[in-house]
Order: sequence, then C-alpha cells, then structure tokens
Amino acid sequence: MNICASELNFTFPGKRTSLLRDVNFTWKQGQVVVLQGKNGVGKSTLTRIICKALPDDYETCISGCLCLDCVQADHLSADQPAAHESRDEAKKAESARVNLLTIGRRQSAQYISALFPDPDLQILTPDTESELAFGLEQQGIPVNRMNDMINEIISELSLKPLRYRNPRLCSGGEKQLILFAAILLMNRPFLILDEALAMIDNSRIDKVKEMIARHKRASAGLLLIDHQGRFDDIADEVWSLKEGHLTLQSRCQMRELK
Amino acid sequence: MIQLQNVTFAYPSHIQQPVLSHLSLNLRLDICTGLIGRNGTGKTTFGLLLMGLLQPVDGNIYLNGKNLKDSPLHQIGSQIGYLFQNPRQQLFADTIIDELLFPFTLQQTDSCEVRKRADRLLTLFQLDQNRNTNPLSLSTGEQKRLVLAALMMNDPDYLILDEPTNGLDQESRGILGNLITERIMMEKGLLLISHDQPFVNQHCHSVLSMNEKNVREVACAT
Repeated sequence: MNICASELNFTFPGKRTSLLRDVNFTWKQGQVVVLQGKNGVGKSTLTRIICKALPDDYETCISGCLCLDCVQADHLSADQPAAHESRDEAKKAESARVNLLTIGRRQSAQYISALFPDPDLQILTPDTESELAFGLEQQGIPVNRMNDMINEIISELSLKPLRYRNPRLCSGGEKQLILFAAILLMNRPFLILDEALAMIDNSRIDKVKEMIARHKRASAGLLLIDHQGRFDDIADEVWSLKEGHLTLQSRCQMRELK
Repeated sequence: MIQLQNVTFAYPSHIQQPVLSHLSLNLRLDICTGLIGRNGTGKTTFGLLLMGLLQPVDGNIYLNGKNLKDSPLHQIGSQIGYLFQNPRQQLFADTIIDELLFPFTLQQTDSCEVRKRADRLLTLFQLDQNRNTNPLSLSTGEQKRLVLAALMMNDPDYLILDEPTNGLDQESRGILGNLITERIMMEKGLLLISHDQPFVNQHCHSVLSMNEKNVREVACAT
C-alpha cells in the first residue's frame, strides 16, 4: 500500500502565495520517511492534509491528487517498479485506489494515525489506561487481548507509574509517551509523528526508535518530523520542503532495522 | 539571586509523593543554568515554582531577597519571563504585532519608542513579514519565536525557557543562541529546561540534573 501525491497544491484562504506547490511523493508501507524544512514552510500543513486534520473550510484550498495505492505519480521514488505493464494490473490498481482528499475522516483514520506537537489536544480520557484502551475498544478488540496489549506496551515504555494517572496532569514528555503508546496500539498502516516525540527524554528515545523499527518491519509507513535530527539514522528517505516544493534529500537502501 | 530554602512541593492529587523534597539551592541571575532530567521528574514544576505560578507546600523561595509569597504575580512577571513548553498557551492577541504591544496597550503606555522596539524584535525573530497574521495560524517554531519576542518587549531580568528548542529549525536555534549570549553579556540570566543536550552543553554555564529524589549540579562554569 502506498500513499501518493501528485501535483498537490495548498493555499491558505486570503493568501496569494501557495504554501505547497506541485508536491509529488510516494510514501510506501514499510518505509520510514523524515520530513525536514524550516519553520513555517508547511510541513505540518502537509501532514494535516494527508490525515485530513485540516478544517473542512480548507478543502477548497487544496488541489491535485492524494491517493492511497495510487500509482500515477512517483517523482520521488526511482525504485518503483515499472508501472503496470499489463492492462489488467492497471485496472486492478485503479479499483484499489482511494482518494484521500474526498473520503471522510472516519475512513481516513482506518489507514492513517497521526500525532501532533501539542499532546494536550489529543488526550481524550481521564487516565492513561483508558487512553490506551480507547482506540482498541473502537476496533472491538476482545477485553482479554486488549489487556494483554496494554500491559505489554506499559511494560515496554515503563509507563506503570502513570497507568492510573490523568494524562493531562503528566509532564509534556510523559504525555507524548502515552500518546505514542496509544497510537502504536491502533496499528494503522500509516503513522505520522509531527514533532510528537520532541519532549521525550534521551534515556527513552532508543526504546522509541526500537518500537518504530518494529512497526516498520510489520509493514507500517512512518512519516516523522523532528528538528533535532534524532530519527535521521532510521530514515529510509529524507524529504525536504522548501518554498512550497518537496524534494528528495537523501535515500538509504531500505533498512533492515534491528 | 533566586534562593530556594528547604522547598517541598507536592501536587494535591499526590500529596504523599512530593516532586521536590526539602530542596535548598541558589540560582545565579547572571548566568545560563541548564536543568535536565528524565520525563516526569519535575523540571517544569520547578520552573513554575520559581515563577510563582505554583506555591511550595513548605519552605520559601526568594527572588533578590524578597519572598515570592509576598510578591504579587504581576510583579514577578515583570522580573521573570517564562516560555511555556506549548507556546499556544500564552498567545492571545489577534495579530503578531498586537501580541507584542498588548501589555503596553493595556497600560496605555504604547508609544513611538515601544513600537520601534517591537519592530526591531520582529525583525530579529524574523516575523516582520507576517506582522498582521493571527499568531495561532503560525507554525509551532514561529509561535515560539513570537513568544520570545513578546517576552523581550518587557526585558525581564531573568528568563525561564521550558524546552525552548522544540520545534525550532537550525536558523531559529541560532537566533535563540544569540539571544542567550547577548543576555549573558548584559548579566541577565536564564534557566534552560531542556532535553536538548547539545544545546545545553553549548550555552549553559551550570547544569542541574533532576531526578525523583533530588536536584544536583552536574556541570559548572570554570
């Protein structure tokens, strides 16, 4: 499964200059992408377009194509297989294509989860355990299985002291850890982490990277924004956004992360 | 000098688990002090206590010899500037320029000189192109730069910066670094609460490390 953008443009209402100009990319499952760029260049706006987190009023500000499993645009990926040699394959791909710009938020959330810089805006429940259970309950995971999953991730991220605490009363880094755990449990094919790990202390960042690597191996696509460069070493591709244009900054061979 | 004397603090919901316990230390107001430590050890709580936004359960905090308990918040605010982790929590004006002028408009002390200072700061923090933009429409990094500019309008004696480099690109980190250097030259200090070890190493003269039990100095200027 890929998320592909073709000629994607975005202009804020009332602005003359477009923030995003003819953006093209292919973001694959099983691929870790780091998105770089200066402050205000539109990184967060791009991630919000991808996961449909912009206000409805902005829908008319977006043009171009943003599709799931789209095969028509691959300006960034040179290693894409020659597109659909047979007509049958092309038809199959066409039928599997989902237009991410027109689907509803609920449907979008089936494919893409996202965390943003301000954890306070994404905490939903009054205690950590409920926060971790919330997404699993929505998916109808059986209680026993759910408890096992929660116990496992609490142990892995050392969240035991926070289990029955109100996440809103935790520190910034703890809030980010709790939401990171919650979003991993959701187990969606694509995951956006927009400065969402910035306050996590260095003693736990290796564990976080290890969990990202495990998620990648389980075929999740991850898109990370981090100004501190803490995830550059696990990136398959580094994209750079400058003056509205997205370019491929670097690419590593698809990594086999430990 | 900020002096903490035997300070104990616990949140009401966890009164049996104090965040700070009988802590005594002095913070110089003319140097950059770093505060590091794992998530949840109480670094932000420490900053909020110094700002008078939280009150110790026991003990006293003195700012230049005056007990913070006896100082109204606005008086502390005129001496100490605080950058919160989340800059959105301290932005409330409709435009960038109004954000800088807000206290002066409120006190009816808005003057030509004040506006010139605002213009200078907007240029310094690279926000002059967007002066009529709503602050909430800015990116996180730009919002941080705006709060820093607004804090500098008051020119406080001391700055407490909580995770200031989060969301800042390299250029903005450079601007923040220059600001710290300039303030130290003016003998106006800062407390830098951060996980950004390279930035702390580069700019702090003294580093305090916080854990669940205590605060100790781990590095000191020679």
